Amino acid sequence: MDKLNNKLRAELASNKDVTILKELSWHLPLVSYEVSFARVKRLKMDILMKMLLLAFQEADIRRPAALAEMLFVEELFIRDLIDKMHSTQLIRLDAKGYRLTDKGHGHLEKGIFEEAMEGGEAIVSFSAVHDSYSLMEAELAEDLEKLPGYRYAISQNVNEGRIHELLSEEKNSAEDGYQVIVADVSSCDELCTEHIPCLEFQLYDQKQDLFYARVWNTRLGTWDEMLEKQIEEKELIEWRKALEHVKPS
Amino acid sequence: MIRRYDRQRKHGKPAGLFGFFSLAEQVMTMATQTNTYQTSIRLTKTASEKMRGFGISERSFFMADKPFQVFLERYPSTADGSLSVALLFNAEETGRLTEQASGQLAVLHCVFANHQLLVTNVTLRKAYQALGTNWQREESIRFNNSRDPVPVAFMNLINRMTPAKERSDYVKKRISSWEGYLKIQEQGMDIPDVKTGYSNLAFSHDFSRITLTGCRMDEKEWKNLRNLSVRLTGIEGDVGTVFKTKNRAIEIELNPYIIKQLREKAHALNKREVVFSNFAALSQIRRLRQGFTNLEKGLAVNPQLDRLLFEERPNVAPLKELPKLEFHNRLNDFQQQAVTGAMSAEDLYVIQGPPGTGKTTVISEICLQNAKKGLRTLVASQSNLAVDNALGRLLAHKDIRILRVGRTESIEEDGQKFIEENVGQYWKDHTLKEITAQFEARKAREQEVAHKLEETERAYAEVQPVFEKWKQAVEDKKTAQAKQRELQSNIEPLQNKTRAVELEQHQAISRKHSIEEKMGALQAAIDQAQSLLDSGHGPEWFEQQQQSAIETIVQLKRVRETKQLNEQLDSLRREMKLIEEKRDEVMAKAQEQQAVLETVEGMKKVDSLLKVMNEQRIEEVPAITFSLSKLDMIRDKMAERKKLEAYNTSVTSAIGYVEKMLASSGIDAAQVKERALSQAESFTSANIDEFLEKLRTMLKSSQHIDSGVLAKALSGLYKRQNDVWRRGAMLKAADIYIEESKRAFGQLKKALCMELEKHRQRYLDLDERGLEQFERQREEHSRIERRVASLSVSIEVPADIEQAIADRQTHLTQLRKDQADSARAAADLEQQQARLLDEQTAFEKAEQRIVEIAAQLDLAMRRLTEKEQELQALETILSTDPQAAYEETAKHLASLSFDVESLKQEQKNFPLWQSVQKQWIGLLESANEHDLDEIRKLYIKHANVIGTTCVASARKDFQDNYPVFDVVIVDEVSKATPPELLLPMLKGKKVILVGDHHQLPPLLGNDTLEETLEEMIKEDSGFEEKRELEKLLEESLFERLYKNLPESNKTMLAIQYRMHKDIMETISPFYKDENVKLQCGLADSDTERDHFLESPSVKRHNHLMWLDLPNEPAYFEERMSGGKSLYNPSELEEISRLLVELNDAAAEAKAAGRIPTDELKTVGVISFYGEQVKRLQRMIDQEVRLPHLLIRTGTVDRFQGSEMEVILLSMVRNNHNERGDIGFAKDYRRLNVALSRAKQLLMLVGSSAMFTKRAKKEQTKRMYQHVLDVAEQKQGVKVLQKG
Repeated sequence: MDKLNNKLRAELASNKDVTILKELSWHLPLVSYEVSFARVKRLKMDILMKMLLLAFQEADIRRPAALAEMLFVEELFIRDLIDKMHSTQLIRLDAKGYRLTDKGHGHLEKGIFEEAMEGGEAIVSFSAVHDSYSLMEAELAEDLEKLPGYRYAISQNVNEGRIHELLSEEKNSAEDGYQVIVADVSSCDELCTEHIPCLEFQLYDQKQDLFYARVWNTRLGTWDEMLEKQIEEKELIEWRKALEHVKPS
Repeated sequence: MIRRYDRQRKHGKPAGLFGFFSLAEQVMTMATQTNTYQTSIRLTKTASEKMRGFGISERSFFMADKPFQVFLERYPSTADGSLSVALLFNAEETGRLTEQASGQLAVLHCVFANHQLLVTNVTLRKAYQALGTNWQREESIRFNNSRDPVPVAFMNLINRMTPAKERSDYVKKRISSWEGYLKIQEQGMDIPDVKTGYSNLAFSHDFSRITLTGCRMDEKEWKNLRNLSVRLTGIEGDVGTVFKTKNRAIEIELNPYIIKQLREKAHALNKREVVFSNFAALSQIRRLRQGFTNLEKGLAVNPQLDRLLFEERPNVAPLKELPKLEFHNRLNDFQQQAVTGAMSAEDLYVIQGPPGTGKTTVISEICLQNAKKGLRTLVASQSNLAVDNALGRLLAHKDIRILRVGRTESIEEDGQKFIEENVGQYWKDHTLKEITAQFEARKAREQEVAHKLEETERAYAEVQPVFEKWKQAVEDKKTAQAKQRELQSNIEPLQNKTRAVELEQHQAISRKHSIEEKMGALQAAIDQAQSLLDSGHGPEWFEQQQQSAIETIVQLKRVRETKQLNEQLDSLRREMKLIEEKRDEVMAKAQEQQAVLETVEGMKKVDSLLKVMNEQRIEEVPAITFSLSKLDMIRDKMAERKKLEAYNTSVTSAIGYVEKMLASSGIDAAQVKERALSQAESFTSANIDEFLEKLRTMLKSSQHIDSGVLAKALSGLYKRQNDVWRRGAMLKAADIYIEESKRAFGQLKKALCMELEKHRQRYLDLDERGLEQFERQREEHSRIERRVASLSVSIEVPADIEQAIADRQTHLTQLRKDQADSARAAADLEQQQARLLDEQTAFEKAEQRIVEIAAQLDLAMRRLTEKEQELQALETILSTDPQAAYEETAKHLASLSFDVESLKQEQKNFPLWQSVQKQWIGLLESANEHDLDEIRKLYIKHANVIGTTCVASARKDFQDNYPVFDVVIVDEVSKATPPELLLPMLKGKKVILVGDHHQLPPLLGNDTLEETLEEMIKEDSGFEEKRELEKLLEESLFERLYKNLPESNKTMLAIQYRMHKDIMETISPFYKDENVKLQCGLADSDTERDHFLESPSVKRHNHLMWLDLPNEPAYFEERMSGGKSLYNPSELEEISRLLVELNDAAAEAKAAGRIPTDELKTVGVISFYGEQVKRLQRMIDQEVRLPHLLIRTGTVDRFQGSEMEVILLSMVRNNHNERGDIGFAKDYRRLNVALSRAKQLLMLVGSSAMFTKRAKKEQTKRMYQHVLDVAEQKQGVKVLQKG
């Protein structure tokens, strides 16, 4: 840790105009959850085509314009799709309107039919300060923290919707014309809280008369913009006052 | 001229062509819609050889089963003026000629010679060279190898084309004025990429810049780094551009989209390597240049683009008539006019949009109108931000499918949803929103429909009887109309009859009158005849009268003759007297001659004779002349003889003297004489005189003279004596000469007398003739006297005899006529009386007829009146107009019936619609990436509004995907340079330009043209470019087009909705020269633009304020050490104070409930100077916390296009300089932008004295004075007290 600290300090001090006013280290709580979710598998099928097939099944529709109005979709799109379905023989036109062919019926069924799949599990971490969720490779180890906590830490309940969003983004997949979809988050249990050490530098650029903060987030391995902004927003004016107080000019 | 051909080309029918086709061919031609030209071709030897070389057989031209599609490009005419043309074959057609072209295209170079198309050369050209440019035209041609002349139509076609070179040269010439833009940007461009390692990378405090240290480059490379783009190994994409280099450290301004990536990766980069490159900038310039070339080559989609851009008065096509448009946005009159104009224009339309006047709304409406017509629109602008702004504000409508094309990372938030990856999502969001709204609305609608249906049915039932009533009325009217027609058809023959009878009546009456007249005339004649007969003048009386008259005439004529003869006598007497006088004169002359003659007889001297000749004017007849010259000659001879005698005496005496002298000397004189006379010599008189004189002198002067000399003198004397003698021998004796002289004188006198006698004889002759004449006259005289005596007159002689004769003769004629009349009257009287009787009978008959006709007429009139009364009775029914009401009611009824039907249909459809839409909502809600894939493809395929930047519109991939647009709209035109504008314009059939030339002109890189110019002057770089730049500064393409286009092709949007009216007042003068005044479209500025703030210095009613700083050193501007930019510390301080005050006021307004608690007041803090902006931003970041404000800072230039609720303008300039320079702030366009950003409150912070009093130019002072005046008027001026 000290090595990192030295390296960062050196980097910041490489600018001769910059003075390090203060250095702090603290930790940021990162809560991890064990999440299990359900998955389904269905034919990859474009929704507008699916809708057209459903509509043709349900009503007598001859004119694409009527459907365009009903679905509030550009008639051009509907014509294009009807042509496509016609040429692939999913539909045919009879006296009353478009009808699904046997092939069409089969296709629609596969598109609607969702085959349940084996559920999945994942570990999701949540940083309340960042309001961010991310997947974790492995379970975190509960650590005994010696450092003080982040002074602007907040506690916030986990949002399952956001977790579902994350899982959909990360776990949805597709193969052979089929897609696998995360259907639902079935359970979400808190596992533990990890404490991420952060190194804070309070800086002053004499040449430009600028105060600013740098916070190294060890978990991300980068300067953490969000935390820096939070601190600057809350403390910058104070730092200036304090400095002016120390060396009145 | 050219314009017309191109228009025709669009329709595929060259003008005047049909004249050369037979009718059958015309019909055929029109049916197929293409014209095929038939022409023979001949080949030169060169051409044949070249063709063989390319493997083209001559026969392949003639064997063809279908005509060739050929591009024609006219060449400049040859030196001898023949028409010259190239025929270009595309790949397919080239394939029909040869298989050896290996992808190249065949070109035939031809001239028209002796009415033949002669191919002079054949070449192959690269396939990528453009075919079908605007300077070419495509035609279908069938070749034959006959010797027929080329069809006239084909030649005319070529003749009407403009040579491609002319058009290219035209473009080249005009576009050269734009070269400046490129030249300036190209300065120092040709820099190769520089790759180097670096040892350290450090971020600036806000991660907006990085500094690289430890780079190794040579001196030249270090120098050229500025503005190059930067790539770091391991980071994808350009990270930014070099901002500055100092002490071997390179400061790089990061691209905003790269910052996140860089923050995350910068610490973990494996290889510390950086590449500086100019590629991006270069490729940009290359694209701009390509635009020039494309225009030159005629590759603009609109073939007239070059003319539209460069002609002094762009010759735009007339607008096409459109039915009234239905608008989808709420538009004011100006906006409607702009949209209608833009839709009706065929090629170019320009919209001038002052700040806040709803340009984007207009663009949105035009896009939608285009979409409805199935047209594809390109929305282009100079910057990505402007494109995204424009697209972001387009109306979400299902007919518009917006696609944002460009580098994803440089597209702003507003544009992001329209990029390819996101359009599926955008479409889904929009559709879901709409369909959900419909679905929800329908739930409520079910009830409503039932209610409406009931209502409509009731209304239908009510309208039905009304309709029936009107129907009946219409029927009644129809019947009445039929009846009316029948009556009218009856009345017509009656009227005809009446008219006929009236005519007859008229004729009868006029006949009666004419009979009356005749009778009157007859009676008069009878009366006259009777009175003649009664007058008692019988034939004897007439004879007597006539006799007496004749006699009188005879007498009168005699008087006349006597008078004439007397006159003749008088004249004769006068003549005779004249003759006598003449004779007397002649006789006197004759006598005078006689007297002279007698004197001459006695004259002895020639001179006397000559005198007489002179006096009597005697002509010198030959005899006289001969005598006179003879006398002269004799006189001369006599004179010469006298002279010689004198010489002889002198010489002889001299000889005697000398001989005597010589005798003593012994010289024999005879010998001397003999010798001297051996040779005859001639001497002139002068010579003799001289010789004698010399001798005399000699003898006189010396006593003793040498005998030789004397001998010699004697010899001379002998010689001269001899000569005198010789000459004397030739003359006659003197008495002979006297005798001759007397004879000659006698002859002369005789000749003279003869002449005188001749004269006298002539006078005598004259007298003789006079006598004869006199005798003749006397005879005549006596003859007349006898005649006069014979005439006797027995009447009294009147004064005017001629008149008297004429009177008598008239009287005589009258008498004769009267006599004849009287005789005739007696004969006619009886006949006339019989005729009078006849006429009387006819008169009675006529009167009878008139009475009959009157009765007939009366009858006809009565019947006519009856019918007309019947017709009158129908009038009441006919005058009603139930038709309109009937139709109205029918329409109403039909509409009600339709409503009922459609409501019933809707009711019936409810379950279906609800069910389908519910399913649809479900599908949409659960849709994921895969589900939207197809939609995305469809959307992109059918995208009809494409947004991109000007320069990006020339990128290769964009060009491939979207070569042509029906309409190109360029937004913020005044911010783009002409080369940038050209790129999107090249692609449009129609171009619509939107901008405002009263706002700021384009930037070149990061600088305004003025700044660039200033820099150039400072660096004293290339004089050439400086001049170019000054030229560019003067003219804005948009301004020129806007000013020179006809009214029909431009509009100024004159109603602004952004600013409170007080703020607008400050910019109104900038638009005072336009056709319309800038107006405020806000119904009530005070409520709609209420800022809700109350503070010590800002009151609710303040919308325009000027915080006035003293023009004193404590408040003066300062200059960065070594920098060029200015800043003003006291303004910084004031603004800081103001911001805190505004923040507090916003907090108070929230607390008081005037502003929602979660809202931030948007504040723009702007300045004319970059350095001031930088310091303002630092102050805001570092020194104050303003949680109730959302603050953006920027230069005025960067703020163009943005708006904020509150604007603080830091004016910076404040000094006591002699020149009163206020720098950039003097440009009215910059001030216009600065003043027009604020919606609710505009606060100027600066010294009013500096700008209104110290500024250099009057115009500038006035401009700021106006702002100050308005602020004062609105009680917005706060003067900052000193100290």
